[in-house]
Amino acid sequence: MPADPAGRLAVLAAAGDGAAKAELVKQMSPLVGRLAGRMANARVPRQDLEQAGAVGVLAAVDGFDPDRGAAFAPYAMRYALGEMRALARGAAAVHVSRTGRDLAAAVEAAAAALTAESGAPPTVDEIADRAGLDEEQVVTGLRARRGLAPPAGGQDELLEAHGGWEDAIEQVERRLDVGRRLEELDPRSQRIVAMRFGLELSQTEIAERLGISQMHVSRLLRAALEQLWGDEG
Amino acid sequence: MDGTVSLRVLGAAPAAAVAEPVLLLLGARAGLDVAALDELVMAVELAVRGAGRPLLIEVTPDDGRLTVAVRPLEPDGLRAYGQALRRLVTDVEIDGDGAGIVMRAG
Repeated sequence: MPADPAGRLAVLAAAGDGAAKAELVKQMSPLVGRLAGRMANARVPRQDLEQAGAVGVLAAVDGFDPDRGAAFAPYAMRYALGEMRALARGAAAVHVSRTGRDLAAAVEAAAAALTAESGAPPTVDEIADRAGLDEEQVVTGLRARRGLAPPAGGQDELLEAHGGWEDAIEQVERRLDVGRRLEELDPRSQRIVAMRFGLELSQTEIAERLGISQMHVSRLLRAALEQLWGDEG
Repeated sequence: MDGTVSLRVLGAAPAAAVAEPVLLLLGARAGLDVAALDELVMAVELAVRGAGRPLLIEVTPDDGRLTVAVRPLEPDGLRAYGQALRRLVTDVEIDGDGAGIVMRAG
């Protein structure tokens, strides 16, 4: 059992102890609350951020390894922050217009079909032909698609299935000279950055391996880079 | 739209926002695929991070490629992001004094 009280609760929670989970969320709530207070704004209320943070704390339980000697709280705050950022991005994304969303969907569907057919990402002209749109509409769709939030959750199982990403994370830390900052990202973001910059897979190759669209990979990658360097801009 | 398009913008966030549609449109006309276009926009967003002075962004389509020059930038920022930029676009040249960058995609 770890000496860290929160770490002990995390071990119990991981074993299915419901009371330990509740106590853990309670003990982490001041830290989560401080993060939520810093991120809250008119579009993302503090209460919603605190709930997202609590989800992050519980998500951290499964991956926490007390044998590594790290305290649970800083480990859990990375997950909490990841969930809060996902919520904030989702709130920002609602400002994409309906027309933009429709065009983004049409562009993404056409691009996915063309990529599946040829094995390579299409040009704007090819998407326009396939979707029955003009160049300007495709560009509008591409811009709207870039502004949409990355899909939340659901990719971790797929990412876990791709072997070798731990080594790739080390490669990224060396190549991009980001030190330990990569380890501060949520696991999904770590892995997408590792695949693109460590394994040097193209977005299309990552998409093929994960069974998702290139545009989906793009949104995940952009969000991950925003997390990696977001505080420096 | 032929020749070089020049944008002069103050601040990183406005620069990225103004550059995005220009890069997408000119890149589309240069025949870049959507993944290359996407990563070029990401690269420009990264390059202009932390810029506090008015930026000059010059975008030139050229025979299936797009060249983007951005000046003046913070040398420290370019040092931090340089390796990532090299993996996002086809070619990167950083000015000798580290205060500007030329990126090519396509």
